[in-house]
Amino acid sequence: MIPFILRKLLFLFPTVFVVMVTAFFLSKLIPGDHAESMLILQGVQPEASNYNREYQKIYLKEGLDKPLFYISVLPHFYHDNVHSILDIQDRYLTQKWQSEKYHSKKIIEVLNERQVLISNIEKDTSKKFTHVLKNLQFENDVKQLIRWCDTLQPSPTAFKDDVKNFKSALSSMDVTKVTWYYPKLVWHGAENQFHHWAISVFKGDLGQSIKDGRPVSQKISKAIRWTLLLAILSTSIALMISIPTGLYSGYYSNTWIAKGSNFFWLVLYSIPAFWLASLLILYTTSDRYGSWVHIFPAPGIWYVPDGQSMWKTIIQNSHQLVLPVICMVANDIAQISTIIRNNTEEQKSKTYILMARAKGLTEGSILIKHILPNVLLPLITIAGGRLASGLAGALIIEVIFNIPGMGRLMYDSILGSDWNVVFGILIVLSIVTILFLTITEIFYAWANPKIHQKMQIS
Amino acid sequence: MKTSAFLGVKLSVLVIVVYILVAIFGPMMANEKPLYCHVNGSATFPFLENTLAKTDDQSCILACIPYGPQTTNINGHASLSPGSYPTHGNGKIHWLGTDKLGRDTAAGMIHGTRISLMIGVLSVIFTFFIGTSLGMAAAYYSVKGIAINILQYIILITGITFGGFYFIFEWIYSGLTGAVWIALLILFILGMLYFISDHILKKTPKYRINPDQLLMKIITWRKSFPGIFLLLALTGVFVIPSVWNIIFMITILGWTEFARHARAETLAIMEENYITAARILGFSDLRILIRHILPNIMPTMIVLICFSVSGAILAESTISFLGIGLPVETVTWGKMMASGRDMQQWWLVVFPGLAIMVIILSLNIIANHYLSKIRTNQ
Repeated sequence: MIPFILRKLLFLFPTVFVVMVTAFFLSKLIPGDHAESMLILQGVQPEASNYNREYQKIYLKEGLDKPLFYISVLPHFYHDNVHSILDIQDRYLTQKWQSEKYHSKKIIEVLNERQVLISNIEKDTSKKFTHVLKNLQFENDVKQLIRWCDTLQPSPTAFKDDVKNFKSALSSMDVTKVTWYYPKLVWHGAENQFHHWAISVFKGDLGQSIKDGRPVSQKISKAIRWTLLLAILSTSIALMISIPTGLYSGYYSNTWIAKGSNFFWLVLYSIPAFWLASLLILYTTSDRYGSWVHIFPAPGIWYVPDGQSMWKTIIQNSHQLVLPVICMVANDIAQISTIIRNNTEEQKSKTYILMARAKGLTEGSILIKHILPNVLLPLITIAGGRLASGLAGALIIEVIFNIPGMGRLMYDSILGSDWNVVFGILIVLSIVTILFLTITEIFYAWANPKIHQKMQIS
Repeated sequence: MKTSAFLGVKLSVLVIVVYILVAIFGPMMANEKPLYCHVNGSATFPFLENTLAKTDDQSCILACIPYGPQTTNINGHASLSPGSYPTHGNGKIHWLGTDKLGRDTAAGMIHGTRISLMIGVLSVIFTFFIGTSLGMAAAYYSVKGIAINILQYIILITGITFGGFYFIFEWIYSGLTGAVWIALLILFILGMLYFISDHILKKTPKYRINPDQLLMKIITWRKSFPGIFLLLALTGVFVIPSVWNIIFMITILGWTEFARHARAETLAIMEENYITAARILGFSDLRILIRHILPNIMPTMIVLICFSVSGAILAESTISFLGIGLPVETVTWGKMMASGRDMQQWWLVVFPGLAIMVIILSLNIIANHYLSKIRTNQ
């Protein structure tokens, strides 16, 4: 048993690693600059004079200048690590011109000349050329830039040479445009963004929310309690209801009650959770359709003061939890009791039941002592899976009922483009899911040695 | 018992056929433009045309719901309860009421049927083909393994890496068409080399590669992500709202489920004697897979198809209920319910929800029927 558990735990690492790589690269695909949104959080406006300096400071502090991963496979003419270019415009131009097949070495030369030219124009006290400066800073078409240099050249100014150098660099870049390319493999070592991010995730640091600057891990740890509470409550209530009903309708499968309940579960299973929730809110939380149906309080805003204990908040808001739990349980009951019913029906026709009946046992003790343990075994996997999916399934219920859980946080963060929180939630939920599934598997193998052996063979 | 269960299945099939008909003929059932007009002595079909001259003529045949799904009319049409007549305009009844912008609920539901069914059916067609073929192939070759020699092994590895590299970068440089041409070219060259090397190195030792393990790894990987969260993150982050993008993402996230079941079923069938017999008779792998294995895993796959269609419809309505993923002007069931919940208008919550529930219930009844069939066969 212990080697089996160890092997299972060992297999966790590659899975977690791949999941983390996926989440990391998904988060890197987001359009927009992370350092820029951090600057907005700090209140530095793009018009501010120290914007560039502040930007580079944050850029370096966040480690965004490092390469993304341990290795990168790029066409041979690419820059080894575009992220190491600190200036926003330079980085953007490099990426754009590389995708137009210009050689990165030439691009760097052009950018250097461009920098010299810009700084000289800025130094110019006559201020005659400030209007061309804007043009130079935001033009990214190479042909257009060469033409622009031609129109500028005749003017006898102090930076005539700079313009000439800039133009020659541009045209030499344009001439040496790449036609054929082959891959190059760049090894970056441990100094990369993924490595640092993964280490900080394992330390429990998921970054900062760009909305209010609070640590993401703190936000998630507050929210996950509610989601866990909902998942555990709904799964246990669903089990409590569906085990007896499933056993009954499976054992006495030919009675009208069993058939009726089967159809009822099927209908209940087909009701979308958010429809049930909307209907319940519409009809039972207001006096609009008569005061006698006004049973539950309207889903309100949850005020949770800092430092208040979880239990106190739960007790304060327990009346708010009734409807969401009903909605979550409704779907679960249908599914679980159908599985239990099918299992019971299967067990009922086994020979050991015939044996027990021949021994003269009562129907009740056959059901409880012989069928129930055999039915409960596969339920371990189901309950584990339900708990794991319950974490995710609560999303829409949380949004509808305004419960400050993970789903609500995720929804708000997506609408507010708070990507650190979105991917923080994704990674935390994935790791929790993996852990749940593994624990369920181990527990199942412990409860049923037959499975354990089968797994070892395969 | 037998007859009543069968009646339920028949009824469900009927319901699904009605839904499909509504989805196909939706624009003819609910349209603000007349279906047929007699203008200047010639017959025209205004609902097929994009532009329309004003025709309030008596000679026109109107659709049975003379409102489009996106026709907004605040003046006298807004927030009407079911079965009421507008105070202004053409005075035609709103059978199921209107929302706060004066859009007809019935027309919206008919249009929503189109969107939901399109997403449900198309995404499941794609997931079925990708998932089932990969799952079947993985299981089939997990027993036998694919035997290749050392040269083929090298060709395979370099082909995958170089092919992927050139595909991605050619996509950046010259768009998707260029990338596809490059990929086809590389595939062709590799295929040639592959078959030539098979004849050159006949006596070298063979390596066995097992695609099954790779598939299982991918499935575990996909299972580690909570589906709805990943779907939300993807729709929220990358994708321009459109129906095709939703279909694409449901396909990407859903095919592993088909692969898992197809693999398990195929593994069970591989033990059967008739597969061994077919092998001994020297049938090709493709023939065994398609003519002998596929028909036998089909019952399970039909159950899965039913559940997947309802899952896709549910996923679509969930994310459009949350207001993410579909263009603003598209009317869907989920969006109508969301606006009804906000405005406390029961008809906007009840009717679209009923539509979702009825189709999911029908699909579940069919799935259940096949499940019990499978169970009695075993």
